[in-house]
Amino acid sequence: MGYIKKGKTYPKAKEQLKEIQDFFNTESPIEEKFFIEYSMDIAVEVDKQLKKQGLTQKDFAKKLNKRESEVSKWLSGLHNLTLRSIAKMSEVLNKKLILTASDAEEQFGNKAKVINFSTYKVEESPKIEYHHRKRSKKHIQVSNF
Amino acid sequence: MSNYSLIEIVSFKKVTFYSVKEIYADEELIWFSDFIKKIKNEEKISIREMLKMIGNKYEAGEQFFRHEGQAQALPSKKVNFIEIKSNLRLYCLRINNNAVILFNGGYKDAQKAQDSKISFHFQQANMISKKILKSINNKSIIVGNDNRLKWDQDLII
Repeated sequence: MGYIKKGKTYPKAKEQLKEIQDFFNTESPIEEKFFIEYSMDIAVEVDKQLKKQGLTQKDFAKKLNKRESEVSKWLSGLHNLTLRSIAKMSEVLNKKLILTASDAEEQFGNKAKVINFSTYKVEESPKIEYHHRKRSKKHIQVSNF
Repeated sequence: MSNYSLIEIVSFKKVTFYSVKEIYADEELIWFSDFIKKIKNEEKISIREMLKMIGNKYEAGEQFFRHEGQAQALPSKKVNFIEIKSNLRLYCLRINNNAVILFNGGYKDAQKAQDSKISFHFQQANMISKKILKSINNKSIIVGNDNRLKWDQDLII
């Protein structure tokens, strides 16, 4: 038994693919986009640092003097991260989790180029590349059905 | 009885996403298309941006997925970075860093997916994941050198 209900008429697969294409091509509100990008960048960076330092989420919570469930919430996005909690995580990880545009310029000089809005791409730098925000429809190819 | 085939739905710089096309009598249904019709508007934004970030920036690393039997689901417990209601599940199968098959999903309303209203999605995801993995094993679906999936257009999984 599948999802298709007997007697119900569905749009043709070609039309469904077009709906999927429209879904991906819809521009999200900029604020939402930034919120997701920042949240994702921070959570990914924390996860990367934990792995690098051989720490579990439990160890991390202990070092933060927090309950594991609370830290899990911090990294869950259900909890809007405060600057205070980001600072605390940075302290424990001994790693700055946020680099502002000016920080990037100062740290990398003219190697850091503004790509779009406030995002930077650092050229010829040791594996540091900030998110390339230029997204055009060229990046989205929907298969020919 | 329904038949199932694979379909490429979108390709980003680092990840190609596929879905499942279900065929029953004269009707066809792409599972991911059904999923996006059901979810709330604010979560559409989150799902779209999350998939774009994975597709364009990060690749489909294991950390983004949670295990759900033979299948997986988004978002992950570990890196559940966005304001998606934690009970929303998009079932999927991560083949490698560059290929992910997106299934269907919905809102989980019980501790265990099996006891929830989305248990059917959970079961379908596991059923089709087994079939897809079997097809990869017997080479009906081939993972190319570029990590993309290749299969005969007439293939029924």
